[in-house]
Amino acid sequence: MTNQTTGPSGPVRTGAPPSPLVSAETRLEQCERTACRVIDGKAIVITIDRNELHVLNDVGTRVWQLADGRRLNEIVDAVVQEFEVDRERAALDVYRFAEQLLAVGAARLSKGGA
Amino acid sequence: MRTPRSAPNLAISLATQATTPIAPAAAAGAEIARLCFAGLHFEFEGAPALLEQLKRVPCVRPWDAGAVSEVRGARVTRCRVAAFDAAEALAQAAARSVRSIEWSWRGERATLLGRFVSAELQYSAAESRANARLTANRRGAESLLTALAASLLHRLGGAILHAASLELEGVALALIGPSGAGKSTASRQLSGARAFSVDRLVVAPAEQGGWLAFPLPGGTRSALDLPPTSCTRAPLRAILRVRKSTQGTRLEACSLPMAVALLRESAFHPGVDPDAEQELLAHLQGLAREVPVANLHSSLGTMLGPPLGRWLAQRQTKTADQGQALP
Repeated sequence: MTNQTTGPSGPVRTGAPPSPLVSAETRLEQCERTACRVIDGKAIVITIDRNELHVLNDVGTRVWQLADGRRLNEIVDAVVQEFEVDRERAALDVYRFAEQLLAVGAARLSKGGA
Repeated sequence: MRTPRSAPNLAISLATQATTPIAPAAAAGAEIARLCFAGLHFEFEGAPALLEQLKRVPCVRPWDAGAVSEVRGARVTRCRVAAFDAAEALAQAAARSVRSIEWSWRGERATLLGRFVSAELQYSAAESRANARLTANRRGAESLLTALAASLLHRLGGAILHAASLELEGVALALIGPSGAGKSTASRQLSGARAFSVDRLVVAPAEQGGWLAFPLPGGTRSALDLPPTSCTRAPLRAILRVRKSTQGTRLEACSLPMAVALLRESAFHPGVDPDAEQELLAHLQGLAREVPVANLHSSLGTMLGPPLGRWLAQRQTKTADQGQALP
């Protein structure tokens, strides 16, 4: 069952193409059919219907916590403020991580504001 | 986050769903059967034939009046049983394709779904009294006990793990991992170990502190190729996630988040209720804080006992994510 999603803290991926699914204006929110517990700064996220478990790293956990319907550029702003990372890399990683959350059914696109 | 602990002094009164006639509570000939199962103490009231079915469930043990509080917060659970043979239950169970036992609590109400049983429980903490509607088929006795235990343990902070377990010098050692992970092989690497449970293991916070383990029916102890233990409960000493290795046997302690993830991977899940999942994660975090959880990379031809003993003795001084190679 364990399926580890590391979150946006991997090596710098310079030159990677922009994400086709999400953008700075994309609003991200957690799906209701998830359960989560943050332990020692790392979130354990369970997608109920898929019965999959994901352990997020520190940055992934923060992104997950911020996924309340706000725009991705706002999440990137928070990540840049709280972690030692430049904005370009933070944006790239947050977008990709958002796509991962969407792909595993843990998050969804939101039309409303935070 | 909802609190994982229930109010103490649960009392459950159980009656069947209306698919079969429900015997009056004080029907002539009704008897009381007191028994222990999964660390919980039950008083069942019903016809002698029905009570006999309950007594024959594997892992049921005699009433132990001196240990009615061995699981933290648990008291005697009183149940009323009218029948196990509901004609529609088998078809219902087959149609649901329930993978395991599912339960959800909504305040004072609980819904249970097992392979051969479904029930709705309702209890009043203030009155310490509850009622339930039960549907079960001919194999319902074991399923009923397991479902009751699972739901009550969920309230009391415990869990049921898919685990082979061993008894070694009076303590229990749980081996978790999918089929083929090497649990049986690892069990044979422990000199003096005896089979405690093969497939399912109850873990529950003990009244006296620490965690207790209780075997549940499922599998056969001979599958572990070890002599069975006579213990029906034992302090839980460690939980090992077994992995096959060709590079020597070693233990690697897990960080707390990873330990909880491994435990959740092996736990009976409560089904479709996110709140119940949240509670289960909280329970497993409590378990991982008190009982060491480690990855066991197991190689053939290596004895595990002595180094495991040393590792357990030394773990107090080890950091949570530090690996330790065994000699």
